[in-house]
Amino acid sequence: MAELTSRERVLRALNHQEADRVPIDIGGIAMLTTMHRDAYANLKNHLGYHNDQTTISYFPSQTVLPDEFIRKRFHADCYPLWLNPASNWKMEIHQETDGSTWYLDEWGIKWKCPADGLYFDPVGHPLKDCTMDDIDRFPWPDPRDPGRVAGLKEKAKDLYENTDYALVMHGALGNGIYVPVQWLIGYEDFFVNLMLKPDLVKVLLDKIVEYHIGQWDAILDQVGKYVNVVVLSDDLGTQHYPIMNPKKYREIIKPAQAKIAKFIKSKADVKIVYHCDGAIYDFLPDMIENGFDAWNPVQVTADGMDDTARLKREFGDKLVFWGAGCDAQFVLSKKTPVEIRAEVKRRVNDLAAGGGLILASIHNIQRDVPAENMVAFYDALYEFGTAAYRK
Amino acid sequence: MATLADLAQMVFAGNEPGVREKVQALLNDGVDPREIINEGLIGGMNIVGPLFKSGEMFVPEVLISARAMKSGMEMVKPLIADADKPKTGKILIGTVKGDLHDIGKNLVSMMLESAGFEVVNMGVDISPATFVQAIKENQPDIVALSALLTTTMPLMEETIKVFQEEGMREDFKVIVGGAPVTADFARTIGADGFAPDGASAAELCRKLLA
Repeated sequence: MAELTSRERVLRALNHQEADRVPIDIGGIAMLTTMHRDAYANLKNHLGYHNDQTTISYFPSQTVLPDEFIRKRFHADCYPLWLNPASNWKMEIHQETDGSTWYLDEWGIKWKCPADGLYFDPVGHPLKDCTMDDIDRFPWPDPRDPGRVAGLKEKAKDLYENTDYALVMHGALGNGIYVPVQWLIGYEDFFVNLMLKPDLVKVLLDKIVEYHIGQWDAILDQVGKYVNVVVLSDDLGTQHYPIMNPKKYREIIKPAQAKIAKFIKSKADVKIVYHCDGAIYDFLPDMIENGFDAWNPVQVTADGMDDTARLKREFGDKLVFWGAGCDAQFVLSKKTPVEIRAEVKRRVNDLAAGGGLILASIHNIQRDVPAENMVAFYDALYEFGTAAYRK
Repeated sequence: MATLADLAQMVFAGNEPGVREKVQALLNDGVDPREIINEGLIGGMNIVGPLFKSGEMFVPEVLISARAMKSGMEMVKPLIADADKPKTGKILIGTVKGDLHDIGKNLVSMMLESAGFEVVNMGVDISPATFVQAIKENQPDIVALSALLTTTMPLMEETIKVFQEEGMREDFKVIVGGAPVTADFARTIGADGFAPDGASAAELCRKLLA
């Protein structure tokens, strides 16, 4: 097959067709397929080039937008677009005497990074112990805030016309649906309320769904004809098992996710990539039912997830695998380039046939991954992704 | 007439008002508080533990069972003389420095309490020095370290090293856990044990102190 553009290559993969090679994503999903800023610095050093530009793609995870040199060097096919901050909010970082730093986001959620820490986690929950009245009176941000999408159309048009990257659009709240409810009321409280006060959880979910629909309406008005993929996200698994009873998920969470997916699909001709970590085999049919086209990151180290050949057999005709490149917990940081190549080769062999694969790291590459491992990994994606479709 | 089995069922169901009602009824009937704890409250969590381990019960369900059990414990514990309290062991647990994740650790904490251990939950982002201080104050039998991130796992090794440098390492057992943690890693860093989940952690602690 003659060489395709990045956009053509990604679209073929998303439509379950083979291409000239398996597409590669480095940083297209802005907070999930890229690298931590420290890993980026290591990589640049290792490659022997210098640039002062480090664009943080998502503040809580301290991840970067890779520069054009990296994208070209490693044959990346996707490019991210994201919203501006809310008009009535400004980032204000506070430093504590113990060396930790924190800020409040536009929802009033407090994000904290410990001293010498790598990311920000939600530690202050503005709707903790809330009543139904508190939910009504909460100052919900306005999804129609024009500031959030100011300049987005121009940027998307420019990328669409002047590059051949597949464009990946991100929404608000880390693209999450039930997870932001956890940020608002606390992780443990969410689980307890899921069991004991499901009506409260449903009302909160409704508010988040309402926000997302308003936001995606505004976003897709601006960029619907330029972007190829949108990102949604909700973790449903721990390392070993589903985080909640799948029945409970189907009763309470799934309808909320489905509503947003349905709206997006009704508004623009885009694919949906859904991020979900953990041991989530039980939820894969639900993802397909929800109309999610692709699944990121395919965490092969979680229970029941290692047999990627089986996952392809059972779900590969309906679900695109976006990620899967290499075991990120026990191989990428700990093993040698030779072992990393073998792991990438295996995953490509398992998942590439018939399209439906976009290769990426399984979550962001962290600073404990040696730069030579990063290079070996990215190069292996290209080498084995090219071999996979060579006739 | 309320039975201990009824109480265990209430714990299993995560029914906190139900637990409190049964505990009161049992106390009114003159049932020994220690039996209420062992057969009713711990007994209820003994149904939950294996089901959690086998994937038939999930985090939200285990959380409400543990909370219901704790609520019952608060009613009964004050009625038992210190001398009569079961001495299963004291465990100090915390998430290592640089890591703010705590749900898994809290679940383990609750499961250990449910199994009759005394648990001091230190919270998150705990430096080796803070662990050392807490060990001196609490004299635990076991120190449990939690980390969710591959990038904070090295702090487990560092923390154990500091215990060695302080000359206190032999005074207690160390166990480790968290999503990226494995039995191999535990062995490499000189921990005494590793458990993949809360239910297994209780078994492990029992074994280590036997």
